[in-house]
Amino acid sequence: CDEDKLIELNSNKNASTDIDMSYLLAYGQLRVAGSRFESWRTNLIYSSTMIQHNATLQGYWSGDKYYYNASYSGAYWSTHFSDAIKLLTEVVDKTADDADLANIHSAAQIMRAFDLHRMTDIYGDIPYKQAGRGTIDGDANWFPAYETQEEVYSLLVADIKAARDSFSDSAKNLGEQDVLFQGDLTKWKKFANALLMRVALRMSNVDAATAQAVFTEAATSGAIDSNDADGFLTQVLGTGGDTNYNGTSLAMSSEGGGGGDNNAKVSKTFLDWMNANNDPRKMIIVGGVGNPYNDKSTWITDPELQVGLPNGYTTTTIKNIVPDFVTVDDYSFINPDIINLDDPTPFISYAEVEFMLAEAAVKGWITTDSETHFSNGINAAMNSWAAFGVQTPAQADINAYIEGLGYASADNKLELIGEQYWAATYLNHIESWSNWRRTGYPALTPTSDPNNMTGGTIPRRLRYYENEIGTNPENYKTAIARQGADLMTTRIWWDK
Amino acid sequence: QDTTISGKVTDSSGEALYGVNVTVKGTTKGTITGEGGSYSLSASPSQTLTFSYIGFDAQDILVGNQTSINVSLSENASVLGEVVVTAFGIEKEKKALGYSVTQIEGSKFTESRTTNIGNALSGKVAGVNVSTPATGAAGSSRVVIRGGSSLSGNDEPLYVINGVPMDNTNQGQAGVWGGNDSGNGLSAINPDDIESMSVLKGNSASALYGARASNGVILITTKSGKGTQGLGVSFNSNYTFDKAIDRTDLQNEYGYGIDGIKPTSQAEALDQGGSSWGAKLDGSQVIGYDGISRPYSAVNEDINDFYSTGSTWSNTLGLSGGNEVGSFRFSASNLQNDDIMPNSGFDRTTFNGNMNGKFGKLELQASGQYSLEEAKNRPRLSDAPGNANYTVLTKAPNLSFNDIIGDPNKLGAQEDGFENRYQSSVYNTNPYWAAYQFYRLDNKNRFFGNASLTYHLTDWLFVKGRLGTDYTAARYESTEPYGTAYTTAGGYNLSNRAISENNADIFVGFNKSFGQFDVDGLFGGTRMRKSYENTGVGGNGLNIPFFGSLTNVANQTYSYQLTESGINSVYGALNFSYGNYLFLTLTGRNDTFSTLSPADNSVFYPSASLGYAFSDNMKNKPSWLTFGKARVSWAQVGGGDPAPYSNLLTYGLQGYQHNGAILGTISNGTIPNNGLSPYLSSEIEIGLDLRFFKNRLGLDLVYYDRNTKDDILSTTISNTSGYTATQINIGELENKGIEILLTGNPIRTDNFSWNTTLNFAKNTSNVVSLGENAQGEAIEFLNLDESRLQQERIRHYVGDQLGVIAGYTHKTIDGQKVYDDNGYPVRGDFEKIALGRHPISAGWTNEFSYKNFNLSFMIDIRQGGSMMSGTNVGLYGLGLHKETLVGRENGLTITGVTNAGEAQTWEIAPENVDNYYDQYNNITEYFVYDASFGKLRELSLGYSIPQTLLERTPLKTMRLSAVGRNLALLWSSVPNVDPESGYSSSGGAQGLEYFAMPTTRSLGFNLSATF
Repeated sequence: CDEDKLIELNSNKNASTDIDMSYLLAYGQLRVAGSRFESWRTNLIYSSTMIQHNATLQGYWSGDKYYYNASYSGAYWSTHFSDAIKLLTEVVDKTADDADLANIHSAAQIMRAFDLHRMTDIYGDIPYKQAGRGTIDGDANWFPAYETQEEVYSLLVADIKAARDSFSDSAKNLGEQDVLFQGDLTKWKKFANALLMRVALRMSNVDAATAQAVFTEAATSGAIDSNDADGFLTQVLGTGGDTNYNGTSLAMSSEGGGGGDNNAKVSKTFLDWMNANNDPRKMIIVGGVGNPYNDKSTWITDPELQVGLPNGYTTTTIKNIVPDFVTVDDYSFINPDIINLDDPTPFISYAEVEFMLAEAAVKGWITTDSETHFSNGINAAMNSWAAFGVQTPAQADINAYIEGLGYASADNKLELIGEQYWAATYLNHIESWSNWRRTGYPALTPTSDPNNMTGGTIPRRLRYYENEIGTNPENYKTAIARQGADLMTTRIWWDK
Repeated sequence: QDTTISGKVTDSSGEALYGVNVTVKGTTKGTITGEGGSYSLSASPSQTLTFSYIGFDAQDILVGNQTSINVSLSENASVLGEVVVTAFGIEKEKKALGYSVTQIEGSKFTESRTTNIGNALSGKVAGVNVSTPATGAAGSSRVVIRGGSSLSGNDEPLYVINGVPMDNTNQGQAGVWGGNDSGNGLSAINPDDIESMSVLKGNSASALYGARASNGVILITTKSGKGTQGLGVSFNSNYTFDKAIDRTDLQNEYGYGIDGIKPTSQAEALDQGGSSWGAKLDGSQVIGYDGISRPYSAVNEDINDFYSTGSTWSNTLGLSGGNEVGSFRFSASNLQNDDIMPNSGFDRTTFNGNMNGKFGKLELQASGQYSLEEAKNRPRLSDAPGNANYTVLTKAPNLSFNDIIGDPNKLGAQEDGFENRYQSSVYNTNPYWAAYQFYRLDNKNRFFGNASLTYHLTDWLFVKGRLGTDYTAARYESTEPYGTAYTTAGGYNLSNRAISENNADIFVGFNKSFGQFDVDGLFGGTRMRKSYENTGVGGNGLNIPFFGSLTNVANQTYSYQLTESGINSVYGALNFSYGNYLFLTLTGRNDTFSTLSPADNSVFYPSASLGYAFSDNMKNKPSWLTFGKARVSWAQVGGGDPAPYSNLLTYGLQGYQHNGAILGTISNGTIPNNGLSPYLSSEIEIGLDLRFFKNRLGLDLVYYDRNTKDDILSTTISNTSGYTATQINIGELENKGIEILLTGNPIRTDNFSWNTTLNFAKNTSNVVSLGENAQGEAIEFLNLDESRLQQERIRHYVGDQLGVIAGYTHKTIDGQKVYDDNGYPVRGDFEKIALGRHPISAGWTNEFSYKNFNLSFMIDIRQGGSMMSGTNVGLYGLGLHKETLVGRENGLTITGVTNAGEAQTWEIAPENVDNYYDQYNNITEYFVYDASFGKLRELSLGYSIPQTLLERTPLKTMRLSAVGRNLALLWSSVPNVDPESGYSSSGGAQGLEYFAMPTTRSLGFNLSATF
């Protein structure tokens, strides 16, 4: 009858009430890798400068001078809960009871944990259980409560382990729908263990016993053991807009419609450190001096003439330390070849795993040889640049470099490891900043812009997305009351 | 045997009456009086002629053996017999209505005109609040009647043309991240085609239009050829100049730079070109962003050194004709606008037709319009990228527009063709680049119209069928040019939209008299179907530099959207009248919605209204009382037509893959709800209509109280849930208000008259409830839009009026303001600050006529609402606001308390004053201003060429006038921007302002003539 026809109008002909959950998984993985928006704000503007990988004279790069910018600070939160977490949570929940979909379920669970782990490290207490579950149980999850970070960590461990142990060869293969490992379950388990090791180490200063237990279990179970098993998300060019591009590259590169924000240079801290140790990856990180974007003849690629830009200055204040300052083009820019739009997004690298093992060995958690891990880590870090399509350093140079560090006889092994971890996580600046907060390595000198908002200290967290203050006030206030004021200087649970 | 009878009709003073209906009683034969009140027609001696004219008592005269009959009609003793158009296009004597209807003649829109007719309603009708958005000439309008009855922000009325609903969907508004006003459906309406507009304010008036009428109805009746004999030609031409009103009053003493120092290198100059925290302007040389040194002194430019003088030229030619069988009217019009934003404009061509005919028992009527609208470069607003308004207003006092204009052959560009950047942020687009190199073009091809057939079964019973359609094919093209600083590789997008709404009606009507009783009524049904289809293609990254074309996009994406919805309705209305002084109307309607829960998608709602023209039933009516009527009505309207497909969680596919992986996503950004039911709004309205001293003084009073329950609301939720909003049936809203219309004719002599009209309305929209949350606690507020600053937003708070501006206060301890270690203000809580909408609106119109001259003006008043001015926040932060001069030389002394509540005094050094103000502007409450205003909205001085001069020409009438619009802002306390500077006509953004277009003042001429 006519009423049936009327009701029929309300069924969307271009959407389905049912879909293969692996389609959502693939898109969710890409969303974890990030879009231009938050890669630019969180990974670059804040993290890359706070950790002194990059430096800039621009005021809007808030992390360089410890300013607070609401939309930059809240960027990761504002995007990831409503895309990556939303999609992955949907997959986790819709595949929970189907043994045949165990692999999709586990992959989604691990990706969800990976992203929420990053967010708890950035902000502190966050919603974990209720996150992304707005459509479940009526209105029960519209205003999610925040778990304490300690609780988040225990949930992370439980979820990652359960997911890792549920991968099954007899369940449906993910195949190319898995854009991270193309259905390779062995790689997934290695990735899960590497993530558990990362989670565990982060707790090492506040709950050493749990940290050690989780770490050793995961390490024994087997984590990423070669650059082949790297947790790198491969990007492909083609139609499809920004999704198929590396978000961090999109923010910096002038290719293909990127914003071309080339206002960040290689930090003096980082370049001096590479120079001091004759680091063979220097000319991988550094693209040269000059402004080849405007004038190719200004491009100087001589390694001896590279200059790092000091962090924390403006075009005016830099004259206090560089009286004859003329132009920022006199400082080394980032190698355009490592920020191509189709360059991979690193989630967890093999090098990081080796450095974590090296640290654990120093701590006495494991019995394998710390120096071997350290040296494996450096080799892995150097060679991982192959994935970016750049020439990796010659083995002889790498060997000489390792030799020069004198790890075996060093009494500051943790510092050496921390510094290498820092160098190995260039581009994954968020992770680099988190590891620095835990270890204190490398030893960084805070910048001192007169307008900084942190009393001249490197931020220990980012402030919550301001929208939350208005939309989820009760839970926000509860978290603040528990954790401390919503400031960049407030230390989160594991950072005490 | 018929004889030809001729004669002249005059009023009691002997003045000729034009357009008087002269009919032969009992036949369809008739004519109307022409020039000088003369007529001629044939009739037999036994027949009777009826002379009728609105506002006058009809007269019957037996022909007899007369061949010349001159008649003097006397003015209607009771009321001016006003006939108004009510629901379904049915004309009714205003006297018979039990509710409030205001009708405005089309002539009120034609002189001091606006491109969007909605904006021309401003100040004209009590209870109708128009917020003209500051979005450019091609922008939309926002009309709200009695404060609207929905909490959702979708509170604009339903527009109905010649009885059939019209699509007035907004095609896009600027938001947090910028954008432009893509206009609404009203922009297609040419004022010259309007016979009248009727505003049905209350539920009773609109009950018959159903759900979509819950926010009131505006009925537009287009001109027809009815009553014309032979061929008539009319012509109207209107030309106006539009100029930006410069409300800025900025500091002019300090130039670009930071910390009180002027730049000393080109790099610094580029870095600091957007900041006016430099040194005191002293005429010394300063290096510029381009390496050129210029005097460090004020250039004394105002915004009109950037904006152009706009112009709007519109011409309409109308043809009408008719005979005994039928009539027609056809018009063609063209409007050409050059906006004040350089390189921006709007063109509109319309063809409008209307015909009707009567063949025995069959009556047919058809009307329609084809229009072509083309808008070029609708200005970008709000967020800075691509928004010229942002950079125009924030230019340093010592920087000239000429300094940044760039390549004369490619304005806004530097030598290599890229954007000429003059300050550090890539997102603050050079205004010339924004205006001249950005490119947006949209055009709409639209047809709307309706056709109806009426069959008169008997002389008291008819059946009518009607089909109406409104179809728009629109195309939107835009490029962000190659070389734009924030997106150097540029981008290109194209979207094609097809929007349609079809209505099919069938109803039976009757009209019967029983002695003192008259009964009429109608019963029928309507089927409404709507669809919206959008195909978008484009992307970013242009392969070939500087070539904006779809084929040149490196990184292509597409999108596709189709939504369909419908409403089925049945309705009926009965009107009883007794003795032509007591009137009762009963209506009922049932709507069934496609978008609601199938279990509860239908709602029935009745109405009843009673009118008592007591003056017509008085034995001893005092002589000073001309007319008096009391009326009371009660009505319900069911509503709630949420967006289609909001009932189920659905999944969609991205239109591309990743390494062979199919990418799926969740289509809903809002949590679906399959249990949405209709809301119900109930209203009581009481009115009193009094006329005194032979209509020299009139008073129309209305009180209404409307309660809306179970409103369907989209409420913002925490994005950590994965979703940003949800739609739920919650909320209760109570609108109460009064409307007063005072009309006076203090002076009326042969040569001179003065008419004055004052309308006043006060509406209180009280949010009674917003339902409960999951924990069973009452929800305290509902989030609506936020502005670019993201430190304030519009909220509905329970217990408060609709649309409150919420934001950060300055933190206080025991009433003392708190400052941090540096002496900078500390933010307090995020809380309600002020009301964002005006509860009071008023309009005062005066018309003076002296012989053939007339002068009219209208003052438009809004009172009680506030505005959060993001522009002023920006001007503070960049050191342009005059108030930021304080402390630049000697620093600031701040007294207050520390975070611990201890009294302290801080000295802020001059070089840190910029940081102080940068923190100060994080405190929302300092930038919320009372947005009340009074404006001289319309002015016209006209001259009608005397008939004597026209006698030897083909012209019948001719009138010339000088017209003006927005001539003066009489009062306002918002600094630097116009109090009507909202960047969006969206209901959720009222009270927010952020770098929209300046408002304009228009002056011009109007010429109208008939042949």
